[in-house]
Amino acid sequence: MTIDTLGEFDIIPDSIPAEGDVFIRVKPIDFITYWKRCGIMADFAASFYAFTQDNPEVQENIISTVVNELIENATKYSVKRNAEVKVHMKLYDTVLKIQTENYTPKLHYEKLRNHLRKLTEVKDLDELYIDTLAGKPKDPSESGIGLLLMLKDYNIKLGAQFHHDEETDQYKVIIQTYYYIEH
Amino acid sequence: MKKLTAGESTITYEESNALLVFDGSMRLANMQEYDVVAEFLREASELSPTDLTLDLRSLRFLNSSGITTLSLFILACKKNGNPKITVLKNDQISWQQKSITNFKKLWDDVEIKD
Repeated sequence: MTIDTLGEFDIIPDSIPAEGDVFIRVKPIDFITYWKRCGIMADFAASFYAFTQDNPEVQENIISTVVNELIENATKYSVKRNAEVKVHMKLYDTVLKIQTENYTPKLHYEKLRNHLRKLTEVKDLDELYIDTLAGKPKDPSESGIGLLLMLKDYNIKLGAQFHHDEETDQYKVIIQTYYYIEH
Repeated sequence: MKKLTAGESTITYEESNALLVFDGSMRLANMQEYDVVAEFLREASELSPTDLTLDLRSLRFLNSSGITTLSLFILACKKNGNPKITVLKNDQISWQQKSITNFKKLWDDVEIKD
């Protein structure tokens, strides 16, 4: 059951044919056991798409940074047993759509939903960045600025959708980012 | 000279030049894993209480937990009033070109040089 949709979700729907279409399904335990694999996966995606672009080295660093943040988030907050993280990357001319999908427990779902609502509604991202860091000494456990930095510093649009699985009482989180490749 | 290895990256501290040189790809899993980096930076700031340079030019990647760690270090220096921080960046590396200017938003005294 779909619970909520936030931000700019499905601004390019799946029905539109893409010029590049990479889909990866991974067990989060594979990333948790060897964290370096998040970076390896991000670097692969970046190499795959960047070499055809102008300034491939610049694009490779940007795409790897964005994909790495999304994979790290999806992995950290995924349920650990019988779980999967799905990463879907599609290229539409100059827009790279990167979608992650994972299942998360209720407690994290609520925190994430509030965080994403704030990110997609806030007027001044610089102010939110400074306020978030100023409040960190009180809550140092997680960084919490990955998606904020993506929105603030990179040319991306962000959307999210949440679904509830009543059988397992888990929450499916779909995060979409649209990176507008700079030339 | 002191050296810290953190995942696929190293930080070298040269006390004689009040210089921290970062190299590699720093993508540790969470804030707890960055504690060792935060402690290394704190010790360097105590040994170089007037000026301290962070040379990030060879740091190819830094994830958001790492950016948070550096940001909190800069806020701590701001709170103490010292050391004065200079950051060397490399605009050929896009995360640096895009995100390092945020450090100046945290503390206007931070000097950023290419």
